[in-house]
Amino acid sequence: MMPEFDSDIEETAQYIARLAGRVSLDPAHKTQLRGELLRRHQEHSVESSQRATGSLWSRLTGHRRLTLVAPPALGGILVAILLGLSLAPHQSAQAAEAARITDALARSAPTVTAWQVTAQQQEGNAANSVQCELRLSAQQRIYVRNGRAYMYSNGTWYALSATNWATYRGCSGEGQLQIAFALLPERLSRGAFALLPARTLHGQRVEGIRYAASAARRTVTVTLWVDRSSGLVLEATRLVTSGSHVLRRDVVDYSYTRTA
Amino acid sequence: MEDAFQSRAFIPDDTDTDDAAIAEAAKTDAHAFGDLYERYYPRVYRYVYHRLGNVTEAEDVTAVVFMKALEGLPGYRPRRTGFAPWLFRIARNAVVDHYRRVRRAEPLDGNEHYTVGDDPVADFLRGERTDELNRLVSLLSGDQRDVVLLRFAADLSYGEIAATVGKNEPAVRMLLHRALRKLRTVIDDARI
Repeated sequence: MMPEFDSDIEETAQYIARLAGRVSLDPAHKTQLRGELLRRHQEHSVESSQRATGSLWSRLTGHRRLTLVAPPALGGILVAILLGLSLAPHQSAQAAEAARITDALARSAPTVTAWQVTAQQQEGNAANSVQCELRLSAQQRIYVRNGRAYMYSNGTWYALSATNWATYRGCSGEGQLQIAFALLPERLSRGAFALLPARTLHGQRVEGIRYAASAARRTVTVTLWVDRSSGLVLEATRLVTSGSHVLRRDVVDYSYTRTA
Repeated sequence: MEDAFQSRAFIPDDTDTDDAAIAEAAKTDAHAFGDLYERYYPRVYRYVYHRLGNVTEAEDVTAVVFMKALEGLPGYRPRRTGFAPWLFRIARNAVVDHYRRVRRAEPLDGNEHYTVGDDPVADFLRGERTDELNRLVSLLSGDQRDVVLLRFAADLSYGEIAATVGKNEPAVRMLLHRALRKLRTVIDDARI
């Protein structure tokens, strides 16, 4: 069968098709509306002149719910299984390190109640510095389960992913950098990163994780310096280059407020 | 995570011939109308939901669409247009009417911008109430957005989309390809 799209956009088309299918229908709404429509059809048949729409909407109350990600049920068990597998002897040192950092984050992320972001940006001759704080309310926590981060907020789970955070400009203009520690497990699970030699940063032993990607003739290289004990990102640099020309450089420092 | 969502049920291409016949029967037969409703409710709901990005509004507008379809069915002429384009023209108009009534204007070109001092976490959570596809298509032009959602959320064929939006089929293909190229760039950037 011939593909519907050119090869360069076929993957995008499939991705959009998957997103389009990510809709939960509320059976109660569907049933309720069907009943209302069939009742009106009968009325139309009996009184064909009647065309009033009536107050349908007022009868369609209740059964409201948001379409959200499923809670990561049994996530703890899955994490344990996955971590166990990832630490098997045949695994590479890089994969084992990724699993170790993810494990550390799974323990430390729920203790984070706020984090401060200091971003230095340089683009061409323009330089800018921004500071902001991201705070969680008492009902909000971030958890790492099954290699992904989730925000639990007032009884509802939200997936934190590079994609759904990417469109947020945030205070530093780079949404993903603001929440780098929560996006780290997703990044590590993809495997396409390099480990850099450990060093000391602000008195903490940190190890470097570097990854790069190219799109639209640009290459973006991100380096994260991660606290070994907690898995939290302490510093991030993001370099946007075109060939050998540096288009933009972001250096971001993080500090965290945590519960005991 | 994708397991948490219902997968789409694709409807075969030849259903519209059947649908036109069923629509003719549905003018007088409530059961026939019920059959059409069962076939089209998921497609209409998906299209409306991704246009609006809000469950409550999508449910209300979906209800408007089927109510208007019921009212307009006596005037439906199968030989003039297929049932799917006829129904999705109603859906498009219902979405536009909704924007005019509730939101005044479609907030759909460009990203949301963040003001220092606001609460980014709350901002993110508000954004999560709209869906990922809604955010992506908000970066497209109105025509591109419509074609993408009619293709992928409503599962319309190119011919049906052309009949729905009042363009010819090659123009629809061009719009869709351009939209996908733009989305590919956005998605690639997000993966970086």
